[in-house]
Amino acid sequence: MGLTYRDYLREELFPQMWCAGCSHGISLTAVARAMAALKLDPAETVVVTGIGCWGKADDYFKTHSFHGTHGRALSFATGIKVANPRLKVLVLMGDGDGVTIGGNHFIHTARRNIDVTAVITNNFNYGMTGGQYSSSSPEGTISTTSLYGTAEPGFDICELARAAGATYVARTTPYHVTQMDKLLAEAIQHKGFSVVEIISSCPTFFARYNYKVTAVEMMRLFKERAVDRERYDALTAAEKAGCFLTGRLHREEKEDFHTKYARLQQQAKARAEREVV
Amino acid sequence: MVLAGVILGEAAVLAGKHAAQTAAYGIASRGGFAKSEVVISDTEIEYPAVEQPDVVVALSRSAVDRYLGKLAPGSLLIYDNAIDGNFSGDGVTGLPLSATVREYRKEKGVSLPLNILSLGVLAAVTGAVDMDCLAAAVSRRFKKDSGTNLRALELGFALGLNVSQRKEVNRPGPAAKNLPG
Amino acid sequence: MAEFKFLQGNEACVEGAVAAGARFFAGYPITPSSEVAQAASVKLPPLGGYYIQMEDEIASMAAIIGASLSGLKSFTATSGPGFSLMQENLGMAIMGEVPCVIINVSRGGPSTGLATKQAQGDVMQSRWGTHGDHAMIVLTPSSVQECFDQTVRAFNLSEKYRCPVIVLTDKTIGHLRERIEVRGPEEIEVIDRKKPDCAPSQYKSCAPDDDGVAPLPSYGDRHLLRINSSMHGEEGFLNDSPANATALVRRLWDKIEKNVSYIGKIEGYRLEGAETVIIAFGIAARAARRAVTLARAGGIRVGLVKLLTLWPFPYAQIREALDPNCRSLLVAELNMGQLVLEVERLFKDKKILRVNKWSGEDILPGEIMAALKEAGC
Repeated sequence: MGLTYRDYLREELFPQMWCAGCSHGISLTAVARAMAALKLDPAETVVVTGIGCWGKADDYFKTHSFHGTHGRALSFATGIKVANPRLKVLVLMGDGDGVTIGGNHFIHTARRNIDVTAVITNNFNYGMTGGQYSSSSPEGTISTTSLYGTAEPGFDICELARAAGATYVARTTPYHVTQMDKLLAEAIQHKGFSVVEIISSCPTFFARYNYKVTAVEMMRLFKERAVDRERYDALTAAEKAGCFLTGRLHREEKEDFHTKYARLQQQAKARAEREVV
Repeated sequence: MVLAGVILGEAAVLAGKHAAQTAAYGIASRGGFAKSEVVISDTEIEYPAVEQPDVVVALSRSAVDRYLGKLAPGSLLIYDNAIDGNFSGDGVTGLPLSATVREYRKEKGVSLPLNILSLGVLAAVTGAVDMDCLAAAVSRRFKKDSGTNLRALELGFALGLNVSQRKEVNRPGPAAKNLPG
Repeated sequence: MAEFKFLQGNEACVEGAVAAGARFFAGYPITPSSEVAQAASVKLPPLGGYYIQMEDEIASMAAIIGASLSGLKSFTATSGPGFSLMQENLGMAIMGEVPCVIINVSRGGPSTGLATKQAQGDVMQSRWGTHGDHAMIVLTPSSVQECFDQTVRAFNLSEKYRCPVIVLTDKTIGHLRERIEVRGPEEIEVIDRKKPDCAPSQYKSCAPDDDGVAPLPSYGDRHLLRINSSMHGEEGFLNDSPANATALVRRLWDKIEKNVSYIGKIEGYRLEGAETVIIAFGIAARAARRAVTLARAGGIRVGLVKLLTLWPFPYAQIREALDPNCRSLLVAELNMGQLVLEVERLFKDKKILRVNKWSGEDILPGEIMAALKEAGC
């Protein structure tokens, strides 16, 4: 089709609505580049979002879109995909949407191995509502609702995804754009539930409160702290705590929900026909 | 118990009648008090629950207690005479329901379902549905396991014929022949 | 070819849904609605349809919305606490204008309440349960036959107006078994959503035709569909301007409330010369009908208006059905008095009587008779 990433974006709506220094713009164009690389047909592609900063991303795509209620994006996506398995469904969620209010839907979508791709930008807080802590905020996080630090540990989104049954799991950062492109394309192509976590910066809240650095310094931090599996395994527990394990963390070939359900429908039909006879 | 009411209703529909069935039971899936009520009518049923039963078949002491002395004149209460206690009154009759099941088991080594046996009793006592329709409803429900159930229905019917005061409510009209088989 | 069956109300809802073309059910089991899910799980897969058991009622509602937009007529079923959880995405279906059907088999509340017992306590939750100004279509069957017919009608209305429709039954009707006539497809009117007939590049997801309803393509069609839970303009993009908010909420309201003459449905019984008219729906309408027959036999001039549409409230139809001699209205309902509030509001010229019960038991015909006598009818 000869499409480039710009053919998937509504550039007329730019500049993007996100804060200066926010990494969501990098993630947005990476998703568009993955669409272009895979030559996705916009009419067979649905971008599903929930609520939050990253939840506004659907506005910028020239595909079908669904901007739903907070945390339920994967449940809408489940209905969309099950009712029309031909569709490519990309679910864009933040850490609040994806694993906090939507945590239950996340683990069940993983368990069912629904063939959709979750792109979770994790900026460790709720940006849109003013920088409150989320379920991915590390213990001790300073936020507008935890001035004294949080007393609860944060989820490791990739570990959670894998444990719940996701069949493709990867993590990347906005600094590692080439890696991001590659992982997103892999995830979208993967048959089964795929999760790409993008460690993201929120220069307005989380980064300012916790790292006390600028957006540019956050990028340097991503560069320094992102480590691949080999390097990560060699680190001590204390060193690991300050790092992000990145790359493709898990991939397995496993029948997805749709393949199994189509078989079940055939069996049910054969049985119903037998019983009528 | 609930199933017996459903089958009775299905039989009435096979006979071209209107029928409504409601049930009451506790939150446990098995055990406890359960009742199944059926209204059978030649015309549309206004209110689907039983307001004043014409016939009650009671298979437990608590069922007898619930209805004894509370029935309208002319109504019947048939109870399993294996239930402990002496019950009497107008229209009150004990029948050897579980005794029949026990005897049959001793003789043939097969357990007859008490609920289906009770349906046979009801058919004989009320004439509300004819036995052919009841047998058809039982066969449809149990498919290849119908044999024992049909036997229970017949034995129940024979027991019911012994009840002296028959309550001929809602005599069966001609069975509709065009119903799906 | 019509066929007589002896079915449960809950099963009849599924028969009706399938007859209306439904091929997707997502739900979470809850008493006393579980038989709807069970029947759907048996019926749909052989038809190439889907039954999916979600992790909760929030997700169930979300999944039927998604499936509907992919082109399959979709429904769910619930009761009490589950209906409360569905309110969030019921709002989504209203705002996104997504056709879907919710069968609410009501039970006693509040909270877990009377899990296995009867109530009609969701009169107001079905109307106003989700937040914000909105219209809602709620249909109320009072027999197993009507469970079938009203479910078909619910799908038709949801497709016609691009909105969720609630079939509000109750524990007694849901579990009641009665004879019903299951009609063949040629005897059932089925309405499908209108699809866009413009070029894909001209299509705007939320631009209404003259009837206030926008054509709806499916995901996968060439017409790109944008569904938005936020206040949005005709192209589906966020638009929170005061003028747009005023216009959109008004349109979503009007497309339902201005069509009450089509959506509203009542059934009158013995209204000729009736000085007192009972207004009731669901199982309470059956008790009321029996009471009217008995009262009329005793020379009492009483009649019944049975509501087949609860919301939008069919006021004009009721007003027109009443005999000029009608002086009082008796509202019989299985709650502390919810429907009666609407009746009081609209019939200020009538004396309003009430029969209420929230014990978990049904209202009996004798209780309505007693209320009529007590009121001097």
